[in-house]
Order: sequence, then C-alpha cells, then structure tokens
Amino acid sequence: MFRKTLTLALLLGTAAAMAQEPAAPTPPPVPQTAAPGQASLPADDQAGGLIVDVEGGTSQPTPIAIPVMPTPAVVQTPAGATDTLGRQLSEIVANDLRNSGLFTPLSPGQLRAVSFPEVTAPAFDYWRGTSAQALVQGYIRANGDGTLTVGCYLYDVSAQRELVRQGFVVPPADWRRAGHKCADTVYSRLTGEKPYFDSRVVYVSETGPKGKRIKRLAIMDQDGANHRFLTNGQSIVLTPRFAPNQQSIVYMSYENDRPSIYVYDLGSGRPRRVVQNANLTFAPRFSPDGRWILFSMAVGGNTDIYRVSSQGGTPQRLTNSPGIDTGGSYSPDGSRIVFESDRSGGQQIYTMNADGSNQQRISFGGGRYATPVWSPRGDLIAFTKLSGNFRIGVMSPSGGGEKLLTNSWSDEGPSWSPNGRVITFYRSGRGAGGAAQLWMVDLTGVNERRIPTPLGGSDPAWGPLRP
Amino acid sequence: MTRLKTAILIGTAALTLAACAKKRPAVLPPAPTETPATTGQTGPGGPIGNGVVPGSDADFQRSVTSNTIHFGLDQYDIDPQARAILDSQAEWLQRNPNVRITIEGHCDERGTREYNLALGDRRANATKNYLAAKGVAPSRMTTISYGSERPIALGSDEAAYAQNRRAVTIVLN
Amino acid sequence: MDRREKIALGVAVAGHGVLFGLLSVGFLATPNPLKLSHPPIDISLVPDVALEQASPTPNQPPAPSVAPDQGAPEDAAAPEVEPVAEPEPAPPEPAPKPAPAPKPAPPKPEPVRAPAPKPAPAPKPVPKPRPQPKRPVPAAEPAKPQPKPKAEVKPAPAKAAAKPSPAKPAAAPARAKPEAKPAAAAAKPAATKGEGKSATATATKPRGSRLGDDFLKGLSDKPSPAKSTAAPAAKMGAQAAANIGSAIKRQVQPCANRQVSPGPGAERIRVAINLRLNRDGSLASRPRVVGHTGVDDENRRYVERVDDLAIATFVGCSPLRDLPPELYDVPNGWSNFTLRYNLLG
Repeated sequence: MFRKTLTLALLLGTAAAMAQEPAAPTPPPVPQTAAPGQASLPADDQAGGLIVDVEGGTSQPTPIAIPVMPTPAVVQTPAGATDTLGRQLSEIVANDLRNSGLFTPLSPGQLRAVSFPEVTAPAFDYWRGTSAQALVQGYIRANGDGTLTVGCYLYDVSAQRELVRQGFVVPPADWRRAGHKCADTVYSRLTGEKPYFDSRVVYVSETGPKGKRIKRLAIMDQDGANHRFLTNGQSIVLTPRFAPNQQSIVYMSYENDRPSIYVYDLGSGRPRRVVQNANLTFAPRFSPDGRWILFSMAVGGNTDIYRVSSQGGTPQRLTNSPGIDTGGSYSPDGSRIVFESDRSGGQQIYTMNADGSNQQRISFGGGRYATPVWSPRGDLIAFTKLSGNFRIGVMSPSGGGEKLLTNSWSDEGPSWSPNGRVITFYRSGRGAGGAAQLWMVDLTGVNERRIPTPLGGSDPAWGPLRP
Repeated sequence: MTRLKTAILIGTAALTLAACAKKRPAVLPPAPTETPATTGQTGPGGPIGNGVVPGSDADFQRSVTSNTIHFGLDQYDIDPQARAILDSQAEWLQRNPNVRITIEGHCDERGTREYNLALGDRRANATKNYLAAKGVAPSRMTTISYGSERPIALGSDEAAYAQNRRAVTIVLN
Repeated sequence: MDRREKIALGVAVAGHGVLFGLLSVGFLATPNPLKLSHPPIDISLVPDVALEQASPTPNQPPAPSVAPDQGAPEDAAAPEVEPVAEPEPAPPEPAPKPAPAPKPAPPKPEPVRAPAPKPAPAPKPVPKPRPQPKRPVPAAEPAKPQPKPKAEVKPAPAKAAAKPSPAKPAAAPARAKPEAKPAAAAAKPAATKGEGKSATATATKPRGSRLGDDFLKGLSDKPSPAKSTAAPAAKMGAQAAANIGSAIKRQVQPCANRQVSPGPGAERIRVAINLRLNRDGSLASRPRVVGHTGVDDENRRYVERVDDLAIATFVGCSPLRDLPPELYDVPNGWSNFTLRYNLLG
C-alpha cells in the first residue's frame, strides 16, 4: 500500500512539476502577454520558483552624459588645438546621438569637467546623481607622427560598468570622423542597430526662382559638415547616387542639352558619360556590388528600365511594357529590383528579379506609389505615396505593412541611411517661392527634422558607412 | 539736361520695344527658295519687315497659332485644340522644309521626379509623331524632356499646372 | 348547451389569460442579468497556487500529526513569534525525505499551535525537496511561525518513509531534514526555530500533547497532492508569493518605466533574469540572463539592449527594501528569484 502510494505520489509530483514549468498562468488582466511559441523562459533550476513579471518603458529618448573629452597634453595640430578638438568631438557625438532621436544629451551645465585619468575611472557617484542612464567619456591625443588618437568609452551609469570601448587613429583632416565613429560605437551598443553616423549624403543644391532653378551636385557629411559643390550649375543635374565603394557618383545631367547619365569620379572630379546614344537616360542607380548601373531610357516615347556595366557598354533591357517603367532600386543582395510602373494605369510599385523576370506588382493600397527604394537591410521598401499630398512611407517587400511616415504637402524621393533605420527625403513648399529642403525621419515616423544646407536641396542620396 | 535725359530714356525704351514687334500684320514669308535653308544662316533674303528672319524661331512663333500645346493631368494625347495648333505648325514647317526643330515636353510639379521626366518625353514624342503624320520629316525633329524642371507658371494651383503641362516647339537657328 | 359551452370557453380563455398574464409579469420581474463590472485591479501573478503547495513528498501522506510532542505551549513559544521559520535548515536537500508537506490541513494537527494555524496560506508546505540539495529552503515555512512547534512534532511520526512527515507544513520540512541540518541555512532567522533544533531531533521527545484524541480526524491518508518531488522543498504559499511578487514589482516599476525602447519590435522581447539577493535586499551577485521569448528576425538586433534594460530595471531600484525576512530563504523565497521584463508595446 505504501509503495503504491509512493509511486502514485511520485507520478503526481512529476506531473505537477512538468505542468508547472511553463508557468504561464491564465492571462490575467495585467498585460502579461507571454509571447507564444518560444519556450525559453524557464525558471531554471538555479532560480527559486518565485517569478516577478514587470513591464514598463518610455518613448522618451535615453538621457546620456557626454562630457568634454580631455587631452593628456594640449598640442597644436592642423585641425586645431587638441583641447578645442576634445570639446568639439564631444559635441559631434552629442549632436549625432541627439539627431538620431533616441538620445537626449545632458546640457553642458549638468556635466562635469573630466580629467584625463578619470576617463577610464568614471565618477559614477556623480553621474548617478544626474538623470543620465549612460555616460560617454573619451580623450584625444596628438601622436608624434601627426595623426590623432581618439579614445571612446561607454559606461552604464546605474550598473556602474563599462559597456564598450573603442579607439580610433585618424589623420588630422578626418578628425570629425573619429567623433562620428565614437558616436556610432555608442549608438550601436545602446540600440542594437548597425551604425550610420560616419557617412555622407550627396544631393542637388538648389537656388533661384522656380522657373529657372540653378542646380548643383553637392556632397557633405550626414551632419552637414564638410559641404562642397561638385558641379557649377551651368546644367541642370538630377538624382545623384553613390557607388558602393564611394569613389564615384552616378547622376543625370542636361549638359549639352543632352539629358543623360554620367559617372562623376570623386577623386579626379571628372564626369564620364555612361551610355552612348541619343536617347534620354535618367534615374540611375548602382547595383550593391558596384558592377552594374540600373537606369531608365526613353525610346520613341516609351520609358523602360535597363542595366549597363558600370564600365560602360551595351545596355541590357529589363522591362518591356508600354507603360512608363522607371526608378529601379536593387535589393541589398542584388537578386531583385523594385521599380515603379504605370502599366496598370497609374504609378504603382513592382518587384522583379535582377534579370527582369517575374515582374509583380506589390502596391495595392489605393492611390499611387512612386520612387521605391530598397532598405540596405532588406526588410522594407521606402516610397512616395501620391494621394492628394505626397508622403513618405514604407512597406515590406511583399507589399504589406504599409506605414506612412510623413504628412506634408510634398515629401518625395526617400533614401535610406546605411543601417536602414533613418530615411532622408526632400520637402517642397507651395507657390512661387516654394523651395525644396532636405529632411530626415526615423523609420518609426518620429524625429522628423530638417537637415541644414547652405541653399535649398533635393534628391538626397545617403551613402554607405565609411570604413 | 532734362531734355537730354528724357531723350535718352525714350531712345532706350524705343530700342527695347523694337524687338517686341509682334503685333505687326503677318507678312507672308518669301518663296521657299529665298528662305534661309539651314540653321545658323540668316538667309539671302535678309530681314523682312521689322527684322524677323524668315525661317527663324521668331518667324515661327508669329506665324503659327502657337508654339505650345497643352495636356490634361497625366495625359499625353493630343486633344482637338492641340491638333489645330499643330496643324498650323505643320503648315509652317512645310513651307520651311529645311528648318529643324526641337520639341520640349514639360510637366506640372505634381508628379515625382523620374516619372515627370518620362512623361515629358511622352508628350514631346506624341507631338513629334503628330507632326510626322502631317508630313514633317522626323529627321528634322528632336525631342527633349524637361520633366517639371522648367515651369512657366510658378504657382501651385490648377491654373498654373495646366499651363505647365505642355509641349513647346522650338525652331533651331 | 351553448350556454355551458360558452361559460366553459370563457372560463378557459380567462384562465389562459390569467396564466399568460402571470407568466408575463413573471418574466418582466426577472431581474436583469448582473452586469459584471471590471474595475482594474492590480493582480500579481502567483505561479504557485495552492494546489501546488502539496508537499513535495508525495509519497508521504501528510503525516498525521501524531502526538505533537510539544504539547506544551512552552515549546512553541519561543520561536513562534518569529515568522521566520528558518532555523531548521533541515528543509533543504538533505531531505531525502519527502516530508510530506502536509500542506493541506495544516491547521488540523495542531490546534495547539496557537501561533499559526497557518491555514492555507502558505504554510508552504514544507516543501520537501528532498533531493534538493540546492535549495536551502528554509523549509520552515517562514510564513508562519507555527511551524515551529510542529516541526518537532512531525519528525517523530513521520519517520516512516523517510522522514517524518511533518504534517505541519512548516514543521515538516524542518523536520524532514534532520539531515538537512546543514541547511542550517541558518541564515534564516528561523523564526520557527528555537524548536527547530529539537525538531531535528525528530521530535523524539514525546511529550504531552494538547491535542485531543481525535486530532487525527482531519488528516488524510492520501498522499500529498501533486507535488513534484523535484520541486523545491518548501513552497511559499500562494498568498505569500503574491505579496512578495507585488512588493518587488512595486519597487522596480519606477525603474522599468524609465527604460527606452531601442526600436520597433523590441517590445515583443521578454527577458528573464535571475536575481540573487542578500538579506538586506542588495544584490548578492550580478543579475544573470536566463532566457528570452518573443525574439524574431525583426527584433533580434535589440535583444542585447533589452537585456540591459531588464538589468537596469532592477539595479536602478535596488537595494529592495522592507521585504519580509521570513520569506527570504524559503523555497520560492526572494533570495533567489526570476524577474521577467519586457518593454511596453
């Protein structure tokens, strides 16, 4: 009898144990939605059985402290004195993080002066008394060979521990890049996203009356610094895009009254014609491996999408519909292309294989869709939606999940940051004075902000992360 | 002194106005053999009337109903009104068979950049095809699309848009 | 004939009418169904429900509180006041003895036990983890002082099977573990204990008992319901667990509310971290991530960051204060627990 009881008890006990493991009680009113599926939320053997569920968060940006970066010795460099550079570096980091929309740097009045030895031994007690949840400390040092070393350290203030550290050695001319690299290190560690601050934007700088705009190619760091013009404005230029190796820009120009696509070599400053025929060619884009240039060509009044070797040669036709097919953009793995076509009566978005086969429409949301661009991380396609206003939106590569990010009279021409998290576009105003300006928005729709440029701007293209 | 100033002012005004003589009665162009045959040449006949060179763009503009036709929103078909205009253009071009033209296609600003380039090209080509059907040799015609880059009406209302959706025929000198 | 028929017909009609009327009135009088209101209530999930309090040692029927030795109040007196049951470290592991956590009835055996009839709530059935070496399990159901006295008692009788089946929830564990002594978890203030020690002695001391002869009445011979032998020895009672859970959650909630989402989809990730605390509520060791749910291809990049946020949620609001010490090192106590965190969607 006892044995039977024992056995029974054991069985019951085991059953109870197994039943209890998942520990997902019937859903209570409190939001405890345990995600279905993955069952890797144990109360593992080591832990006691007590489980406390907590849910909470805020959409406010993370408060972060970025004190001025000290220097072990003040040295004059071609870029300036190292102590001045240290202050400017901390400002670059603070601006990058603030402009991402995910961080709020503490104001200078809340920061303390950090000495060089304190960089690796932070005064956590002080920082814990501020609202900062993270702390970025660094230093700049002039090396004997003319280069600069910038150290960058990220700390978790409440846990009082270092999260990541990184050092950068740069020539004086690239000192700002060290600041962007430091901001990227911090940003990636604190968000899980890939970095994007050390990158450039190429765009069309605009000035003058609407009927006779002077347009010039221009390039700048994504924060607006190091701005320079690439063309002189004598011919209309449109839609510039980076080559993946960042050595050249492909664009369309009206020089010689022959609107055609060109490749501009950033090193030599010289343009080179890509397609040698009399047809109108426009809307060019490089393939992710840099071997091909996708473009649109109008023949006898009909526009289709072609590709040509980036070294030049005979174009290969990819689309062949009586409608206008234009605006092609490759997927990041180069296997597919998204483009716009009005073959169904109005502009819509289509995808196809890189060889032109399997063309399928993916936009069905009512209204018209144009200027599709594939995200560098492959998960989304950005576009301009035309339904009354022009608005920037994103959708999945199969066309679902459409989400509109902006809501202004005329937002157009999206381009992705290298990490696929931020979209830049241009916004035009109404009327004779309506000038275009460059803007950015986070892919969640928050943090819409204007990018300051010397003149007006349109057709922005965000380049890859600089190595 | 004031008299001199006044005279200078009047003289300058007269000069500037001299080129605007568009309201003069149409003068029949000279016979074909006398008109300038190729671009860049002023022709043996010399200026006629107030100085318009026969076979020039100025001559063209004052001879035809209009050098511009318009289109509906997102359209590139030639409507009856446009047909009448193009008919008069074709007629002039028949009379000036050695004249080359370029046809510009334009769009209003309510379209995206690349699509407008393509649409302008469609409009220019539609115009060219119509003229070709009217007997103008295609080799005399080139097309160029300006998308929405060169509006002539700068407002952001329907009236301005309607004016900007156009194809312009330009005689090359 | 006609007249009669008419009369009969009229009566029948009238009768039907009355009947219908009564029934209609009856329907109308039916009260409207109660509308259940749903006031928002703050519920803490308690994974340990009463059922699971079954003594971990199923094989032992709740030991009949055989002759609780203590009988005399003086025994119990000492430790009782402390809610902490500890002293008898016993509970843990050594427990080979399944100490049948009496859980259910607890009250029954000891009427004497003044201290605690620990009824239900938690007596935490002295979980008998028997095998649990790892759990220090205070066994002594910290919750209720009562255990103490029982502890003693139990041992004796329970000897059967493996350990005295301390019927008493609390006591049982303690007892069971005579071997458990090492459990000395001693750390635990052993509320119960003063007696504990003696308990381990397996209550051999029979003493006069205050219990009536019929004190066995309430006991059952059935094996303890469902308690896995592997389960930690003493389970905190559901109520106590709920209270602890709420207390901890209340203290860390402000820190949770400060965490910033790194990106879209991060709110689907739920991370579990294991926390070990000292008695003063401070961390005894670094929090350890033990698992995730809700991770998919779209939010995988945020996992490390959500881990950070979960840890920051706790660390930012530690040390925890005012947690009941008697629930510290009982099984499922707050010395070692799991915090599951997710961002707000």
